[in-house]
Amino acid sequence: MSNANSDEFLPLSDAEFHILLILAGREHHGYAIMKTINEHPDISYFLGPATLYRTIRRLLERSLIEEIGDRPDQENDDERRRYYRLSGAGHRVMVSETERLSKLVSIAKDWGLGLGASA
Amino acid sequence: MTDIPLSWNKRTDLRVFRFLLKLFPEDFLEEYEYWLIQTFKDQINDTASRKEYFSLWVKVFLDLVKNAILERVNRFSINNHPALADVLWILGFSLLYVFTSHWWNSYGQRIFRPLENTPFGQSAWSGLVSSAMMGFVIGLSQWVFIRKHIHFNWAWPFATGIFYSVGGFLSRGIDYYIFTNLHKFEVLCKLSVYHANFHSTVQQYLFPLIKAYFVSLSQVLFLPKSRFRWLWIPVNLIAWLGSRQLTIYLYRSFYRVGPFNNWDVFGDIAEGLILAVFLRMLFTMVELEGKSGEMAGELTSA
Repeated sequence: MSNANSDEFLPLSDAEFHILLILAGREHHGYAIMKTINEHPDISYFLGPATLYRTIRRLLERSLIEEIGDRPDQENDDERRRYYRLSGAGHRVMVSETERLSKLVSIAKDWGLGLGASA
Repeated sequence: MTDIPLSWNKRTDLRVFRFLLKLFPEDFLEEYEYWLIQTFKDQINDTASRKEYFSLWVKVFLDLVKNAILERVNRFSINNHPALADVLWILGFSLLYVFTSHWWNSYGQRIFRPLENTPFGQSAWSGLVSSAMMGFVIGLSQWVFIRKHIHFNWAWPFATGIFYSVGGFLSRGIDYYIFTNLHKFEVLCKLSVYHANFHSTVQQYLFPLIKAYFVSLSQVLFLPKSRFRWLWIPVNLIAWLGSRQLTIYLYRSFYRVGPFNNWDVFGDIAEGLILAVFLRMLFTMVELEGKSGEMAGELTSA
Protein backbone atom coordinates (compact mmCIF):
# COMPACT_ATOMS: atom_id res chain seq x y z
CA MET A 1 0.00 0.00 0.00
CA SER A 2 1.47 3.36 -1.05
CA ASN A 3 1.07 6.62 0.87
CA ALA A 4 -1.55 7.66 -1.65
CA ASN A 5 -3.53 4.54 -0.81
CA SER A 6 -3.03 4.94 2.91
CA ASP A 7 -4.62 8.41 2.67
CA GLU A 8 -7.92 6.86 1.62
CA PHE A 9 -8.42 5.62 5.21
CA LEU A 10 -7.92 9.10 6.66
CA PRO A 11 -9.09 10.64 8.86
CA LEU A 12 -9.26 7.75 11.29
CA SER A 13 -12.06 7.63 13.83
CA ASP A 14 -11.17 8.09 17.51
CA ALA A 15 -11.51 4.37 18.18
CA GLU A 16 -9.42 3.40 15.13
CA PHE A 17 -6.66 5.84 16.01
CA HIS A 18 -6.48 4.77 19.65
CA ILE A 19 -6.44 1.05 18.83
CA LEU A 20 -3.76 1.45 16.16
CA LEU A 21 -1.77 3.63 18.54
CA ILE A 22 -1.81 0.98 21.25
CA LEU A 23 -0.92 -1.77 18.77
CA ALA A 24 1.96 0.33 17.41
CA GLY A 25 3.74 -0.35 20.72
CA ARG A 26 3.30 -4.14 20.79
CA GLU A 27 0.82 -6.96 20.19
CA HIS A 28 -2.20 -6.97 22.46
CA HIS A 29 -5.39 -8.92 22.95
CA GLY A 30 -8.77 -7.19 22.90
CA TYR A 31 -9.19 -6.61 26.61
CA ALA A 32 -5.59 -5.37 26.98
CA ILE A 33 -6.19 -2.79 24.23
CA MET A 34 -9.32 -1.59 25.98
CA LYS A 35 -7.74 -1.55 29.42
CA THR A 36 -4.67 0.37 28.22
CA ILE A 37 -6.81 3.02 26.55
CA ASN A 38 -9.33 3.36 29.38
CA GLU A 39 -6.71 3.48 32.14
CA HIS A 40 -4.04 5.59 30.45
CA PRO A 41 -3.77 8.87 32.39
CA ASP A 42 -3.25 10.95 29.23
CA ILE A 43 -6.01 9.39 27.15
CA SER A 44 -9.43 10.78 27.93
CA TYR A 45 -11.39 8.38 25.78
CA PHE A 46 -13.61 5.50 26.84
CA LEU A 47 -13.52 2.45 24.64
CA GLY A 48 -16.41 0.05 25.25
CA PRO A 49 -16.42 -3.63 24.26
CA ALA A 50 -18.83 -3.14 21.33
CA THR A 51 -16.83 -0.24 19.88
CA LEU A 52 -13.66 -2.28 20.37
CA TYR A 53 -14.81 -5.31 18.41
CA ARG A 54 -16.63 -3.38 15.68
CA THR A 55 -13.47 -1.35 15.14
CA ILE A 56 -11.24 -4.42 15.24
CA ARG A 57 -13.40 -6.04 12.59
CA ARG A 58 -13.17 -2.93 10.39
CA LEU A 59 -9.37 -2.71 10.82
CA LEU A 60 -9.03 -6.41 9.97
CA GLU A 61 -11.16 -5.94 6.85
CA ARG A 62 -8.90 -3.08 5.76
CA SER A 63 -5.79 -5.16 6.62
CA LEU A 64 -4.53 -2.43 8.94
CA ILE A 65 -4.12 -4.97 11.74
CA GLU A 66 -3.69 -8.72 11.71
CA GLU A 67 -4.49 -11.50 14.11
CA ILE A 68 -1.51 -13.51 15.29
CA GLY A 69 -1.52 -17.18 16.16
CA ASP A 70 1.35 -17.34 18.65
CA ARG A 71 0.82 -15.91 22.12
CA PRO A 72 3.43 -13.31 23.14
CA ASP A 73 2.57 -13.46 26.85
CA GLN A 74 2.08 -17.18 27.49
CA GLU A 75 2.84 -17.12 31.23
CA ASN A 76 0.27 -14.48 32.24
CA ASP A 77 -2.32 -15.52 29.73
CA ASP A 78 -5.10 -17.94 29.02
CA GLU A 79 -6.01 -19.61 25.77
CA ARG A 80 -9.14 -17.64 25.12
CA ARG A 81 -7.22 -14.52 24.07
CA ARG A 82 -6.98 -13.38 20.47
CA TYR A 83 -3.93 -11.23 19.79
CA TYR A 84 -3.65 -8.48 17.22
CA ARG A 85 -0.73 -6.53 15.80
CA LEU A 86 -0.26 -3.59 13.47
CA SER A 87 0.31 -4.58 9.83
CA GLY A 88 2.69 -2.79 7.47
CA ALA A 89 -0.27 -0.99 5.90
CA GLY A 90 -1.55 -0.06 9.37
CA HIS A 91 1.85 1.40 10.22
CA ARG A 92 1.83 3.57 7.09
CA VAL A 93 -1.72 4.75 7.82
CA MET A 94 -0.70 5.68 11.36
CA VAL A 95 2.28 7.64 10.06
CA SER A 96 0.03 9.54 7.63
CA GLU A 97 -2.59 10.20 10.30
CA THR A 98 0.01 11.39 12.80
CA GLU A 99 1.47 13.74 10.20
CA ARG A 100 -2.00 15.06 9.44
CA LEU A 101 -2.73 15.67 13.12
CA SER A 102 0.73 17.26 13.64
CA LYS A 103 0.01 19.75 10.88
CA LEU A 104 -3.31 20.61 12.51
CA VAL A 105 -1.58 21.07 15.87
CA SER A 106 1.05 23.34 14.31
CA ILE A 107 -1.69 25.43 12.67
CA ALA A 108 -3.46 25.66 16.04
CA LYS A 109 -0.18 26.77 17.65
CA ASP A 110 0.36 29.40 14.94
CA TRP A 111 -3.06 30.78 15.77
CA GLY A 112 -2.19 31.08 19.44
CA LEU A 113 -3.92 27.93 20.57
CA GLY A 114 -0.80 26.18 21.79
CA LEU A 115 0.12 25.07 25.30
CA GLY A 116 -0.53 27.69 27.96
CA ALA A 117 -2.89 29.69 25.75
CA SER A 118 -6.03 30.78 27.52
CA ALA A 119 -9.34 32.04 26.17
CA MET B 1 -17.14 3.87 49.56
CA THR B 2 -17.67 0.14 50.02
CA ASP B 3 -16.21 -2.43 47.72
CA ILE B 4 -18.73 -4.62 45.99
CA PRO B 5 -18.24 -8.38 45.96
CA LEU B 6 -18.74 -9.09 42.29
CA SER B 7 -18.91 -12.83 42.47
CA TRP B 8 -22.50 -12.93 43.75
CA ASN B 9 -24.02 -10.84 40.97
CA LYS B 10 -21.66 -11.65 38.13
CA ARG B 11 -24.12 -14.08 36.64
CA THR B 12 -26.85 -11.47 36.61
CA ASP B 13 -24.49 -8.97 35.01
CA LEU B 14 -23.63 -11.42 32.28
CA ARG B 15 -27.26 -12.33 31.76
CA VAL B 16 -28.18 -8.66 31.28
CA PHE B 17 -25.16 -8.13 29.03
CA ARG B 18 -26.11 -11.16 26.91
CA PHE B 19 -29.66 -9.84 26.67
CA LEU B 20 -28.39 -6.46 25.43
CA LEU B 21 -26.25 -8.19 22.84
CA LYS B 22 -29.46 -9.36 21.19
CA LEU B 23 -29.68 -5.81 19.79
CA PHE B 24 -26.87 -6.69 17.35
CA PRO B 25 -27.37 -8.47 14.03
CA GLU B 26 -26.93 -12.24 14.23
CA ASP B 27 -23.90 -12.53 11.97
CA PHE B 28 -22.00 -9.98 14.09
CA LEU B 29 -22.81 -11.98 17.21
CA GLU B 30 -21.79 -15.24 15.58
CA GLU B 31 -18.31 -13.80 15.17
CA TYR B 32 -17.92 -11.62 18.26
CA GLU B 33 -20.42 -12.64 20.98
CA TYR B 34 -17.93 -14.85 22.80
CA TRP B 35 -15.22 -12.16 22.74
CA LEU B 36 -17.59 -9.42 23.85
CA ILE B 37 -18.74 -11.49 26.81
CA GLN B 38 -15.16 -12.41 27.79
CA THR B 39 -14.10 -8.77 27.63
CA PHE B 40 -17.07 -7.64 29.68
CA LYS B 41 -16.38 -10.39 32.23
CA ASP B 42 -12.80 -9.12 32.57
CA GLN B 43 -14.03 -5.56 32.95
CA ILE B 44 -16.49 -6.51 35.68
CA ASN B 45 -13.78 -8.50 37.50
CA ASP B 46 -11.50 -5.47 37.43
CA THR B 47 -13.98 -3.04 38.99
CA ALA B 48 -12.88 -2.21 42.51
CA SER B 49 -15.73 -0.14 43.88
CA ARG B 50 -19.48 0.34 43.61
CA LYS B 51 -18.92 3.70 41.89
CA GLU B 52 -16.68 2.11 39.28
CA TYR B 53 -19.17 -0.71 38.83
CA PHE B 54 -22.11 1.60 38.09
CA SER B 55 -20.01 3.91 35.97
CA LEU B 56 -18.88 0.91 33.93
CA TRP B 57 -22.46 -0.27 33.45
CA VAL B 58 -23.63 3.13 32.22
CA LYS B 59 -20.74 3.39 29.77
CA VAL B 60 -21.11 -0.19 28.55
CA PHE B 61 -24.87 0.19 28.13
CA LEU B 62 -24.47 3.36 26.03
CA ASP B 63 -21.66 1.72 24.05
CA LEU B 64 -23.79 -1.32 23.26
CA VAL B 65 -26.87 0.63 22.24
CA LYS B 66 -24.91 3.11 20.09
CA ASN B 67 -22.97 0.39 18.30
CA ALA B 68 -26.00 -1.84 17.82
CA ILE B 69 -27.80 1.04 16.10
CA LEU B 70 -24.75 1.84 13.94
CA GLU B 71 -24.31 -1.81 13.03
CA ARG B 72 -27.96 -2.09 11.98
CA VAL B 73 -27.82 1.16 10.01
CA ASN B 74 -24.64 0.02 8.23
CA ARG B 75 -26.42 -3.15 7.16
CA PHE B 76 -28.92 -0.98 5.36
CA SER B 77 -26.45 0.17 2.75
CA ILE B 78 -26.34 -0.38 -1.00
CA ASN B 79 -23.49 -2.89 -0.70
CA ASN B 80 -25.52 -5.11 1.57
CA HIS B 81 -28.84 -4.50 -0.17
CA PRO B 82 -28.44 -4.59 -3.96
CA ALA B 83 -32.20 -4.09 -4.27
CA LEU B 84 -31.78 -0.65 -2.71
CA ALA B 85 -29.85 0.43 -5.80
CA ASP B 86 -32.86 -0.58 -7.92
CA VAL B 87 -35.21 1.40 -5.70
CA LEU B 88 -32.97 4.48 -5.92
CA TRP B 89 -32.73 4.04 -9.72
CA ILE B 90 -36.54 3.92 -10.00
CA LEU B 91 -36.97 6.99 -7.78
CA GLY B 92 -34.25 8.89 -9.64
CA PHE B 93 -35.74 8.06 -13.04
CA SER B 94 -39.26 9.08 -11.94
CA LEU B 95 -38.16 12.29 -10.25
CA LEU B 96 -36.12 13.48 -13.21
CA TYR B 97 -38.96 12.54 -15.56
CA VAL B 98 -41.51 14.51 -13.53
CA PHE B 99 -39.15 17.43 -13.01
CA THR B 100 -38.34 17.65 -16.72
CA SER B 101 -41.92 17.58 -17.97
CA HIS B 102 -42.96 20.18 -15.39
CA TRP B 103 -39.95 22.33 -16.11
CA TRP B 104 -40.93 22.32 -19.79
CA ASN B 105 -44.58 23.12 -19.05
CA SER B 106 -43.65 25.94 -16.67
CA TYR B 107 -40.50 27.49 -18.18
CA GLY B 108 -39.11 25.60 -21.18
CA GLN B 109 -41.91 26.37 -23.60
CA ARG B 110 -41.49 30.08 -22.96
CA ILE B 111 -38.70 30.07 -25.55
CA PHE B 112 -41.48 30.00 -28.17
CA ARG B 113 -43.23 33.03 -26.74
CA PRO B 114 -41.35 35.63 -28.84
CA LEU B 115 -42.36 33.69 -31.97
CA GLU B 116 -46.09 33.74 -31.14
CA ASN B 117 -46.87 36.77 -33.26
CA THR B 118 -44.72 35.76 -36.20
CA PRO B 119 -45.93 33.72 -39.20
CA PHE B 120 -43.99 30.76 -37.80
CA GLY B 121 -45.68 31.06 -34.42
CA GLN B 122 -49.09 30.92 -36.03
CA SER B 123 -48.30 28.00 -38.31
CA ALA B 124 -48.74 24.30 -37.64
CA TRP B 125 -44.96 24.01 -37.61
CA SER B 126 -44.78 25.89 -34.34
CA GLY B 127 -46.86 23.23 -32.55
CA LEU B 128 -44.84 20.46 -34.15
CA VAL B 129 -41.48 21.94 -33.15
CA SER B 130 -42.65 22.78 -29.65
CA SER B 131 -43.98 19.26 -29.19
CA ALA B 132 -40.76 17.76 -30.58
CA MET B 133 -38.67 19.80 -28.17
CA MET B 134 -40.77 18.69 -25.22
CA GLY B 135 -40.38 15.08 -26.34
CA PHE B 136 -36.64 15.66 -26.69
CA VAL B 137 -36.17 16.96 -23.15
CA ILE B 138 -38.32 14.15 -21.73
CA GLY B 139 -36.36 11.61 -23.78
CA LEU B 140 -33.14 13.20 -22.55
CA SER B 141 -34.22 12.80 -18.92
CA GLN B 142 -34.92 9.10 -19.56
CA TRP B 143 -31.66 8.66 -21.50
CA VAL B 144 -29.61 9.81 -18.49
CA PHE B 145 -30.69 6.70 -16.61
CA ILE B 146 -30.99 4.11 -19.36
CA ARG B 147 -28.15 5.00 -21.74
CA LYS B 148 -25.99 2.06 -20.63
CA HIS B 149 -28.71 -0.45 -21.42
CA ILE B 150 -30.01 0.61 -24.84
CA HIS B 151 -28.89 0.34 -28.48
CA PHE B 152 -27.97 3.47 -30.55
CA ASN B 153 -28.22 5.20 -27.20
CA TRP B 154 -27.52 8.79 -28.39
CA ALA B 155 -30.56 8.67 -30.69
CA TRP B 156 -33.11 7.94 -27.96
CA PRO B 157 -33.99 11.60 -27.12
CA PHE B 158 -34.15 12.53 -30.83
CA ALA B 159 -36.48 9.64 -31.70
CA THR B 160 -38.59 10.43 -28.64
CA GLY B 161 -38.84 14.07 -29.72
CA ILE B 162 -39.80 13.26 -33.31
CA PHE B 163 -42.43 10.70 -32.40
CA TYR B 164 -43.76 12.83 -29.57
CA SER B 165 -44.36 15.49 -32.16
CA VAL B 166 -45.91 13.06 -34.67
CA GLY B 167 -48.18 11.62 -31.96
CA GLY B 168 -49.17 15.10 -30.86
CA PHE B 169 -49.86 16.19 -34.44
CA LEU B 170 -52.04 13.15 -35.13
CA SER B 171 -53.94 13.41 -31.87
CA ARG B 172 -54.58 17.11 -32.50
CA GLY B 173 -55.80 16.21 -35.98
CA ILE B 174 -58.18 13.63 -34.60
CA ASP B 175 -59.23 16.04 -31.91
CA TYR B 176 -59.98 18.70 -34.53
CA TYR B 177 -61.89 16.17 -36.67
CA ILE B 178 -64.06 15.13 -33.73
CA PHE B 179 -64.78 18.72 -32.77
CA THR B 180 -65.65 19.95 -36.23
CA ASN B 181 -67.30 16.96 -37.86
CA LEU B 182 -68.51 14.78 -35.10
CA HIS B 183 -69.52 17.20 -32.42
CA LYS B 184 -72.64 15.19 -31.66
CA PHE B 185 -70.56 12.06 -31.41
CA GLU B 186 -68.25 13.82 -28.97
CA VAL B 187 -71.19 14.72 -26.77
CA LEU B 188 -72.39 11.14 -26.84
CA CYS B 189 -68.95 9.84 -26.05
CA LYS B 190 -68.44 11.82 -22.87
CA LEU B 191 -67.08 9.26 -20.46
CA SER B 192 -68.94 11.00 -17.72
CA VAL B 193 -71.12 14.02 -17.43
CA TYR B 194 -70.23 16.95 -15.23
CA HIS B 195 -69.13 15.50 -11.99
CA ALA B 196 -67.69 17.61 -9.23
CA ASN B 197 -67.00 20.48 -11.57
CA PHE B 198 -65.25 18.45 -14.23
CA HIS B 199 -66.24 16.34 -17.16
CA SER B 200 -64.14 13.88 -19.11
CA THR B 201 -64.28 13.62 -22.85
CA VAL B 202 -62.97 11.10 -25.31
CA GLN B 203 -60.30 13.55 -26.47
CA GLN B 204 -58.76 13.82 -23.04
CA TYR B 205 -57.99 10.13 -23.23
CA LEU B 206 -57.24 9.91 -26.94
CA PHE B 207 -54.57 12.59 -26.78
CA PRO B 208 -52.23 10.80 -24.34
CA LEU B 209 -53.01 7.39 -25.85
CA ILE B 210 -51.93 8.33 -29.38
CA LYS B 211 -48.81 10.11 -28.13
CA ALA B 212 -47.90 7.19 -25.88
CA TYR B 213 -48.35 4.73 -28.72
CA PHE B 214 -46.08 6.58 -31.14
CA VAL B 215 -43.42 7.43 -28.59
CA SER B 216 -43.20 3.89 -27.20
CA LEU B 217 -43.26 2.40 -30.71
CA SER B 218 -40.11 4.35 -31.59
CA GLN B 219 -38.44 3.64 -28.24
CA VAL B 220 -39.03 -0.10 -28.29
CA LEU B 221 -36.43 -0.48 -31.05
CA PHE B 222 -33.76 0.89 -28.71
CA LEU B 223 -34.53 -1.47 -25.86
CA PRO B 224 -32.30 -4.50 -25.37
CA LYS B 225 -33.44 -7.60 -27.19
CA SER B 226 -35.82 -9.55 -25.03
CA ARG B 227 -39.18 -11.13 -25.65
CA PHE B 228 -40.59 -8.76 -23.03
CA ARG B 229 -39.47 -5.53 -24.70
CA TRP B 230 -42.69 -5.20 -26.73
CA LEU B 231 -44.53 -4.85 -23.44
CA TRP B 232 -43.05 -1.33 -23.40
CA ILE B 233 -45.95 -0.22 -25.64
CA PRO B 234 -48.86 -1.42 -23.45
CA VAL B 235 -46.96 -0.29 -20.35
CA ASN B 236 -46.71 3.21 -21.84
CA LEU B 237 -50.40 3.22 -22.69
CA ILE B 238 -51.27 2.14 -19.16
CA ALA B 239 -48.89 4.69 -17.65
CA TRP B 240 -50.21 7.64 -19.68
CA LEU B 241 -53.83 6.65 -19.22
CA GLY B 242 -53.27 5.94 -15.53
CA SER B 243 -51.62 9.29 -15.13
CA ARG B 244 -54.56 11.09 -16.76
CA GLN B 245 -57.12 9.14 -14.75
CA LEU B 246 -55.33 9.75 -11.45
CA THR B 247 -55.15 13.48 -12.16
CA ILE B 248 -58.87 13.58 -12.97
CA TYR B 249 -59.70 11.51 -9.89
CA LEU B 250 -57.65 13.77 -7.59
CA TYR B 251 -59.14 16.90 -9.11
CA ARG B 252 -62.66 15.56 -8.71
CA SER B 253 -62.02 14.53 -5.11
CA PHE B 254 -60.21 17.69 -4.02
CA TYR B 255 -61.30 20.30 -6.57
CA ARG B 256 -61.85 22.86 -3.83
CA VAL B 257 -58.14 22.70 -2.95
CA GLY B 258 -56.73 23.81 -6.26
CA PRO B 259 -57.05 23.98 -10.05
CA PHE B 260 -56.71 20.97 -12.38
CA ASN B 261 -53.06 21.66 -13.23
CA ASN B 262 -52.07 21.32 -9.57
CA TRP B 263 -53.00 17.65 -9.62
CA ASP B 264 -51.14 16.95 -12.82
CA VAL B 265 -47.89 16.40 -10.94
CA PHE B 266 -49.31 13.38 -9.09
CA GLY B 267 -50.38 11.84 -12.37
CA ASP B 268 -46.89 12.41 -13.74
CA ILE B 269 -45.30 10.82 -10.67
CA ALA B 270 -47.46 7.71 -11.18
CA GLU B 271 -46.54 7.67 -14.86
CA GLY B 272 -42.81 8.00 -14.14
CA LEU B 273 -42.94 5.25 -11.53
CA ILE B 274 -44.76 2.79 -13.82
CA LEU B 275 -42.25 3.40 -16.65
CA ALA B 276 -39.27 3.19 -14.28
CA VAL B 277 -40.39 -0.06 -12.65
CA PHE B 278 -40.92 -1.70 -16.05
CA LEU B 279 -37.55 -0.55 -17.43
CA ARG B 280 -35.70 -1.68 -14.30
CA MET B 281 -37.38 -5.09 -14.49
CA LEU B 282 -36.59 -5.38 -18.19
CA PHE B 283 -32.90 -4.49 -17.74
CA THR B 284 -32.55 -6.91 -14.82
CA MET B 285 -34.23 -9.65 -16.84
CA VAL B 286 -31.93 -9.04 -19.81
CA GLU B 287 -28.89 -9.18 -17.50
CA LEU B 288 -30.07 -12.46 -15.99
CA GLU B 289 -30.83 -13.91 -19.44
CA GLY B 290 -27.30 -12.93 -20.53
CA LYS B 291 -25.74 -14.57 -17.47
CA SER B 292 -27.73 -17.78 -17.86
CA GLY B 293 -26.73 -17.85 -21.56
CA GLU B 294 -23.06 -17.51 -20.59
CA MET B 295 -23.37 -20.30 -18.03
CA ALA B 296 -25.08 -22.55 -20.54
CA GLY B 297 -22.25 -21.81 -23.03
CA GLU B 298 -19.61 -22.65 -20.43
CA LEU B 299 -21.35 -25.91 -19.56
CA THR B 300 -21.58 -26.87 -23.23
CA SER B 301 -17.90 -26.13 -23.89
CA ALA B 302 -16.90 -28.02 -20.71
